[in-house]
Amino acid sequence: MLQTAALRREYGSTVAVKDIDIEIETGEFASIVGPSGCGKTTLLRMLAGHLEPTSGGIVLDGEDITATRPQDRPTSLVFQTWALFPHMTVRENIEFPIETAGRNLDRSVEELLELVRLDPEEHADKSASELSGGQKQRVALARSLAYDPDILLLDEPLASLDYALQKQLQRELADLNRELDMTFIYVTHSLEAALVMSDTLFVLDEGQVAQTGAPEDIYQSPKSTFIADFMGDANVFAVDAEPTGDGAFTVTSDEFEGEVTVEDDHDGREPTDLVVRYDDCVVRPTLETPVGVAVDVDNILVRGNTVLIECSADTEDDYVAEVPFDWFQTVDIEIGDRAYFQWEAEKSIPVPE
Amino acid sequence: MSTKHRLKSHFDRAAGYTRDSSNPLFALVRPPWLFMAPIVALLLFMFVGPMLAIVVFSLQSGNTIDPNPLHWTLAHYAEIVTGMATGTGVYGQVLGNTALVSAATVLATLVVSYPAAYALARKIKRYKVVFLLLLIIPLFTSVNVRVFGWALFLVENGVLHSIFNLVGIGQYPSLLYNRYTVLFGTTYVYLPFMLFPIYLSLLTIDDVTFEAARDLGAGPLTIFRKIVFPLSMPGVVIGSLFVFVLSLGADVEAQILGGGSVFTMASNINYSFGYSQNWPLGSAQAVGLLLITIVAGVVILRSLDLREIASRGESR
Repeated sequence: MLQTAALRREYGSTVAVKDIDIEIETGEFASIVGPSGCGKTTLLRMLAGHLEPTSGGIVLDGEDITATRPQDRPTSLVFQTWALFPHMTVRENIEFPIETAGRNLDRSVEELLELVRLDPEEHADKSASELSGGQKQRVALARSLAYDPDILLLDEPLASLDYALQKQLQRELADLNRELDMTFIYVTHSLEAALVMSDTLFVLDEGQVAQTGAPEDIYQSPKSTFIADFMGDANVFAVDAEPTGDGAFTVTSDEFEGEVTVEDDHDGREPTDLVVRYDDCVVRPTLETPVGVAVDVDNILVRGNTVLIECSADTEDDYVAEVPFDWFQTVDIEIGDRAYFQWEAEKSIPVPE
Repeated sequence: MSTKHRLKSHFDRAAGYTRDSSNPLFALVRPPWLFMAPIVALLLFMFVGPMLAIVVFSLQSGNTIDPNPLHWTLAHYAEIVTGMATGTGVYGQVLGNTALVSAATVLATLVVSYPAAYALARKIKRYKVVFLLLLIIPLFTSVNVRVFGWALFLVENGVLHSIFNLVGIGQYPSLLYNRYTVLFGTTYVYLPFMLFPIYLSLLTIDDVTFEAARDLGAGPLTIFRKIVFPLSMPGVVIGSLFVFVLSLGADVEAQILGGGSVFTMASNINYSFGYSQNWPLGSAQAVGLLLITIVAGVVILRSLDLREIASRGESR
């Protein structure tokens, strides 16, 4: 198990990572996500040993590795730019950790290349600089795996690849994690990547862990509007909440008609916002659900099998509904129409400040 | 001719174009060649012409050019080559001195510059520009001035002598006029030509390459042996080539610091043209030096994989 204790890193007067405590189980696929500048790369570089923490510690399987040099740490980092050694062939790159580190996965270069789905016969003796981006990424991965790390750290290694290749490599990484029973820690700003691959998600905001949990749990009950927003495609309504006395709140708002009763998901903290996902909302000419808001339809975007309906309310707040294409064809909505933006009350997600 | 080209020439004719690409004169006035014209003219005038004259002179028996090629002679070459091949006489000595000074200068500049280039490229962040300027500034001063300055420093009853007298060391062997002083001179003068190529090649190594190596278990020595040194090889090779070729032509250092006791090929050419007024012999030596320089250059450059160097920026 990997643990950090009040891990902190300051750059001058800015604090990039603020006393972070995380725990990652052995063999887990953990993702650290957050917007640019949230401290995720700083955190990863401290875990790899390339950056010294200002204070706090890192413990791996009960052993304090805070001061361990990167070359002595059982971690290996797959860099965003891959960092292949340009003067070496693919084979020499992969042999590098095997020759220098005295620890290795006990697999041949050929087996490692097959593990990352590269044809050894075709690629093993090519120069590293002759490869395409996706191939370099795979070689960098094979090279890190050859080190046989206890923890494989990945710093957005897919970011500069095209979309289809990203999807494919995401699946392959998840497979490798299971196959090798190695802890993977993946840093990304792309939520989609994290959702597909991870067992556990750490959402970082301004150097702190904003929420931890299984991806679906965080998606279903975000702890804050920041997380709801980051998890994507959410309409946010500012609300007033009244406790009902039996562990629930009655929620009303200036921004929509009707009232919503929500469970107390946040230890008695009053919800200040309601979050409703795009695909839980619809737009109809009349109000047919208990909650909704009168809007002007500003734009209609057909997105393959779903349709995005962009609306603006009289309060000048903008809302978006994502509806199935077939359903859209059954309603009479056009750009410029006056209509009702609405949703089923139980789809409302209460969020405290 | 492809259909496309046929069509194009057809349209060009129809449009009244008179430029015919088969006329080589038109090719010469196209901009790329026009841009090259001044330097080509300069090199033809300043280098190719005089070199031809030197080659012709080297075949003469006296200080005038005999228009009849049948009277030309290879005697000077025979004299030089025999001397050099057997390592005897003036030419054997000259070749020995030149080879020794050049090779030793390469070695000495390499040993002195590599650590400095490494520190400047990787370690020193503050005052780096100051250091680089200090290394460049000597190049702004004429070689003669610098070498004479050094001679004044070393000469008997010179500056160093005075200092030694002050601390009570009265007698010491003369520091001027031997091979090692010449070697010190060339090392000092050609140092920047070794340092900067190495410095630049070390600069091309990405920081993340070091991190990746450390990350994969490599300590400082392994990183130097397997990453830094191989990646700086182009700089080392080019620096060595510069220093070697420049040292082959070292003349001022040999004359002033060697003081007539150490002859190198360049100073001997100077001597042949000047003091002994034997132009054909000087010319033959000049041709020989040029050939040695060209061969050394080709051999050294062949060891470089220029494509790998060019692709380095793309490896990320």
